[in-house]
Amino acid sequence: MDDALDGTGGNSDGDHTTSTDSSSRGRLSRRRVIGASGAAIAGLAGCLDGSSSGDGTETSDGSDDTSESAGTTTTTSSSGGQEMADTLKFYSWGGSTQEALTEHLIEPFEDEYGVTVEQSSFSSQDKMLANVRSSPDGSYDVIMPSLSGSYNAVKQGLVEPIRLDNVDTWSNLLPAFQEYNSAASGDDHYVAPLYYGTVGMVYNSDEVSGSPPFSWQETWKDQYSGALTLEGFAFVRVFTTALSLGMDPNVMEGDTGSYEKGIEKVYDAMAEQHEYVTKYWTSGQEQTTLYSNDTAVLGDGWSGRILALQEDGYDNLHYTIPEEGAFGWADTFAIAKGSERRYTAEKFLQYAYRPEVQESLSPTLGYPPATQATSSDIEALPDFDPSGGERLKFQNQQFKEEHQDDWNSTFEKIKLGQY
Amino acid sequence: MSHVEVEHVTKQFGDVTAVDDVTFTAEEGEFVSLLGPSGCGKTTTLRMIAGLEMPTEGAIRIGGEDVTDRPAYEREIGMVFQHYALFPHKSVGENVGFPLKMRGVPAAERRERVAEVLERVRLPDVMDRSPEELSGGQQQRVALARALVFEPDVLLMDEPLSALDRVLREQMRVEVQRIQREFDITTIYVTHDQAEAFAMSDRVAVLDEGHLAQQGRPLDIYESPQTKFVANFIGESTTLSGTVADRDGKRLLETDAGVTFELPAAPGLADDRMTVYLRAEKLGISPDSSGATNEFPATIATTNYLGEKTQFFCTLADGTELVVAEQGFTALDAYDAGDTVYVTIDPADLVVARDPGQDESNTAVDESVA
Amino acid sequence: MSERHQRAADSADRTGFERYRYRLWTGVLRAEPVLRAIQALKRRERLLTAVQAGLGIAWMAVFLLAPLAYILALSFWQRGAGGVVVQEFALANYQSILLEDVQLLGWQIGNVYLLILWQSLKFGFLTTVTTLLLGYVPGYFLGRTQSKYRSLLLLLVVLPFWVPLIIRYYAWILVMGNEGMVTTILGWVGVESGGFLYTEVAVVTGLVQVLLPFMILPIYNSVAKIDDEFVESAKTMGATPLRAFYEVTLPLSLPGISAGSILVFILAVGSFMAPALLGGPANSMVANLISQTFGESFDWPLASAMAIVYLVVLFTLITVFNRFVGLEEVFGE
Repeated sequence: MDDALDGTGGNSDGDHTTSTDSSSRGRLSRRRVIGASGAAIAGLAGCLDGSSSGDGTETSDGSDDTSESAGTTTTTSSSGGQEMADTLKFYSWGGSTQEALTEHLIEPFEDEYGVTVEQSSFSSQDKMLANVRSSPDGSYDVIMPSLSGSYNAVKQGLVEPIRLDNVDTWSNLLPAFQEYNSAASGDDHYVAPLYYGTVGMVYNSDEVSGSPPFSWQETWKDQYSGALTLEGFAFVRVFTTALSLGMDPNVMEGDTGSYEKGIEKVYDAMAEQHEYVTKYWTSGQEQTTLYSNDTAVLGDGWSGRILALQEDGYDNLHYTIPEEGAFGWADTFAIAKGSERRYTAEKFLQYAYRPEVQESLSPTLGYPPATQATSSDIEALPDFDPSGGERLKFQNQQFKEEHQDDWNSTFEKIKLGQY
Repeated sequence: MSHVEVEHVTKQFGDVTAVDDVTFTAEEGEFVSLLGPSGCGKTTTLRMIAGLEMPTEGAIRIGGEDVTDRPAYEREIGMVFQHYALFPHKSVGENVGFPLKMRGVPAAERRERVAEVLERVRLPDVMDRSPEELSGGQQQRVALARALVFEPDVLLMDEPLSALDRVLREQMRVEVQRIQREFDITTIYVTHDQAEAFAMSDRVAVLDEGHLAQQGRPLDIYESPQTKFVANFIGESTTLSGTVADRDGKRLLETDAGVTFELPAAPGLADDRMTVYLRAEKLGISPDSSGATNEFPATIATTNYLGEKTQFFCTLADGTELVVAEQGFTALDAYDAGDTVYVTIDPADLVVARDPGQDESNTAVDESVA
Repeated sequence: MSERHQRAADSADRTGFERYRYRLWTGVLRAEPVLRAIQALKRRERLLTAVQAGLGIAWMAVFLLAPLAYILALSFWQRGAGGVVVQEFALANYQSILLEDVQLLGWQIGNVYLLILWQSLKFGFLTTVTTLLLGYVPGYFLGRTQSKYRSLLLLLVVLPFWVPLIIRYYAWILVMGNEGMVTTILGWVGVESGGFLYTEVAVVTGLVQVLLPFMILPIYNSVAKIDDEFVESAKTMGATPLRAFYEVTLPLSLPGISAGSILVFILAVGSFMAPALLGGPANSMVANLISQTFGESFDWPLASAMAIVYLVVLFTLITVFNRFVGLEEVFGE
C-alpha cells in the first residue's frame, strides 16, 4: 500500500519523448474495436506534468483495498529457473493484431530460440482479465493488457513483476515508458509497453473547412449538430473535454481552484456538446459506418480505422491530433501470475524490443512503437507525434479509478438529458 | 312443399366428388336421418344445409326460401356438432345465450330465455358454470339448448351421440327425441349407426359414396332394401342373384349359387335377372330336412354365440357364404362345424329386387356395388 | 400372396442400405445386454422418471441457480481498487442503485440506473405492442390455413434466425441511415428527414424485426389448436366472420398472445445490441449499462446488484401479468 502511494509520486518527471508525424499508413485492426475502449494510459511520467504528485491523485481511502492485492503480486516469487522452456503460452488481442504479431514477432522468435509459442486470443480487456483471473496459475505466460487494463491486472494480482535484468533491451524503450508504473507499485515493473496510439480528431474535409492544427473546440460548433460522433466512454469524454478547456485532465481544476468546480465545468461542456452528438460510438466498426456514410462529418476516432477508410478511397476523411493534444493509449506485454516460464517470457520481451523487430512490426500494426526504434515508415504513422509528445496525453489511472463512478453516472445522466 | 328441400345437390372438393346429385326432403316437424358409413357424404350434405359448405351444383330451400347462396350466419339453423363445440371460455349461460346475443337480444331477456330453455332440456342451475365442468350428457343438453334457444327453422345434428358411451347414448336417444318432439322442430340428423337412425327417425336417407341409395320410413328401408348396399348396411344379409323361370305355374328364381327359390308374387318376367336378399334373422335352420318350400342345404363353417342371438356362418354347395341368425337359441350343442344343415325362408320374407348388375335404369342403384 | 412372395416383395422394397440399417438395428436391439437393459429400465420406470427429472434439475442447478447465487452474493460485496472484489457484506451497491439521487418534489425521480431501467421497460412495452399488432395476422393465417405451403411459410418465419443478429442490425443501419432506403423513399414523397437511425424508432424497429417470430409462433400454435367446430358453430348461431373472430378465435388464442408477449417483452427489455447499434445517445438500455459497469468500470459487485434489481423488477412484472392473464393456462397445456 505504501508502494502504491510512493509509486504515484515517483513517476513525476520529465517530458515524454514520443514524437510524431501525422500522415498516412496504418491498418485496420479489429482488436481496436474494444482495444481503445479499455486502452488508457496511466501515469505515463511525462504527460502528468507533475500533477500525479499533487493532491488530486491521492487515493488514501483506496489504499486499504489495494494492499491485499498489491501484496499478493509482490510476493509472487520467481517461478521457473534461468533457462529457456520449450513452450510459451501467449494470450493476445485477436484479429489483425494477432496476425501481425505472429508474422513479425512470434515466428522469428520461435525460429531463433527454438521455443514453441502457443497462442490464444481475446476480444476485450475485461474478458482477458476475467479469464486470467479464473484460470489456474500457469495457464498463461505472456498476456497483453492495455495500460488501463494493466492497472487492474496489477491491482488484482494477475501479473508477475518483470525482472529487468533479464530483459537486456529494456533500455530501448522510450524513457517515459521505461518509467511507467501502472499501479504505483514501487520499484517493480509489471508491464512492457509495445505500441501506443491516440483518440484523435476525425473530420470530413468536404464538410469541415480549415486545416490542421484544429482545436477540440471545433466539436462544440453547432454547425455540426447531428453530424458529430464521439467515443462513448465517460473517461475519454471527461479527459478530452478537459483538454479542450485547457485543463490538465489528470487534475481537472483549471483556473477554478478545485476538482469539484473543475469537473462541473467539464460536465457543463459535455452537456452542451451532447446536444450536437448523433451517436456515441463504442467500436471501430461503428466509427467506420458513421464516417463512411456521412452520418458523421466530425468527431473523434482511431487512426487505424480512418487510415483503412482512406485506403478504401475515402480521401475526404482525415485524422489529426488537435492542438490541445489527445487521449493516449498503449498496449503492453505482461507476465501472467504463476507463470512457470517467466524467464522465457522475459526473453520474449527482450526479443520484442529489438529495433529490427519493432521496425517490421510497427508499420504492419499501424501504430508507433513504444521503443526508440524508428524508420520512415514509423514516422509516417499518424500517431507518431511530431511535436515531441506534447500532444499525446495519458490518463492517470488512479485518478480515473477514484472518480470514474461519478464520471460514468453523470455521463449517463447527460445522455438521458437529466443533467 | 316440404320444409327442407335438397335438390340435386353436388359437392366437389377438387377432383373428389363428395356428394353426387343428392335429392331429399324433410317435412315440417319431421325427424330425418342421413345414414351411411364414414365417407359417404352425409356430413358434407348436412354442412351444405347449414351453409358451412357451398354446393357445387343444386339448390337448397328452407321454408320455401332458396338459401343456396346464403352464408351460415344468415340462415336460421341450429346445429349440434359432434364434439358439441361449446365455447370453453364462456359460461354455460353465455354459450346458450350466444345466438341471442348475435341477434341483438338485450341481456335481461337473454338471461330469461336461456334459463327457460335450460329448464326445457332439464338442466337448470348450470348457467354460471363452465361447460368443461359438465358431464358428456350434460354438455350434450347444453349444445341442444344452444341450438334451440333462438327457435331456428331447422335443427341439424352431426353424430351428436357418438362421443358418449353406450348406455348414455341409448338414454340420450330417448332424450333427444323427446326434446325434438317438444320443440316440434324439423330435424336432420347425421349418423352412421343404423339402430340410432331407426330408433329416432321418421324417415331415413341412406347415402353411399356420395349418392342417395334409398330413402323412406325405417320399416320400408329394412323390409325392402332397394340395393345390395342398403341390404348389407341395414343388418346382415346374404345376396343371391339368378334368373327367373316359370315352371309348373310357379315363378322360380334359379340362383347362380344353385339354390332355387319360389318367388311370392310376380316381379319381373321370365329370363329376367333378379336378386334376393336373405336377412340373417329371417332364415331358419334345422339339422333335418322338412321338405318345406325354399329349403336348401348348407354346411356350417362357424357358430358364433352372442347371448341374445346366435350366428351361423354357412357355405352353400358352390362355396357362397351365408349368415343365419337365431334369437334366443339354446340347442347349440346340436350344431358342429362341418355339419350339413337345412336352411329355410318363408317366401313372404324374401326381399326380391332387380339384379343391380343388369339394370342401368335403376337410379337408386350404385354401379360401384354391382 | 404366399409367404415367399411376401418376403421377396419386402426385400425388393428395401434398398441395400435400408436392409443393412434394419439388420443393424434389429441386431443391436436384440443383443442380450441391450435387451436386459431395456427390460431393466422398463421395470424401473419410476427410476427412469427420477433420472430424467434429476437431469433437468441438475442442469438448472449448475447452469442457472449456481451462477445466479454467485451474482446474488457478488451484489452484496464491494469493488476494491483495480476491480478487485472485496468480500465484505454491505448494501452499498443497492443503495447507490435505488436510493442515490432520488428526488421527489424537485421532480427528478430516480437515478441513472432507474431511468435507464424505466427506458428499457418502455422499449420493451413498445416492442411488444408492435410485434403483437404485426404478428397476429401472420400467426392467425398460419394457424388457419390449409395450404400445402404452410410448412414452407413457417420456415420463412424462422428463416431470419439463420442470419446472425449483428448482421441484421447492421442491415437496419444501412436501411435507416443517412443515405438509406427509408430516407430515400421519404425523399421521393417529399419528406425530408435525416433517417431514423440512432433514434428510439430505430431501436424499436430493429427489436420488432428480430423478435417478431417469437410472437408469430406462439400465436400460430394456439390458433392452430382452435377446433374449426368452434368458429363454425359461432357462424351457425348467427355470427359474421368478424364477430366469430372477436367472440371465439381471439379469446381462444389468448394463451398464444400472452406467451408471445411475455417472450418478446423479456427479450426486448434485456436487449443489448439493438440500443448499442441502432440507438442514439439517449437510448441506452439496462443491458448496456450492466455490461459497461461489468466490463469497463470493472465493478462486478455493482453490476451484479443492477442485474439482481433488473431480475426482481422483471419477475414482479411477470407475476402481476400472471395475475391478470393466468400463465398456468399459457404454459400449462
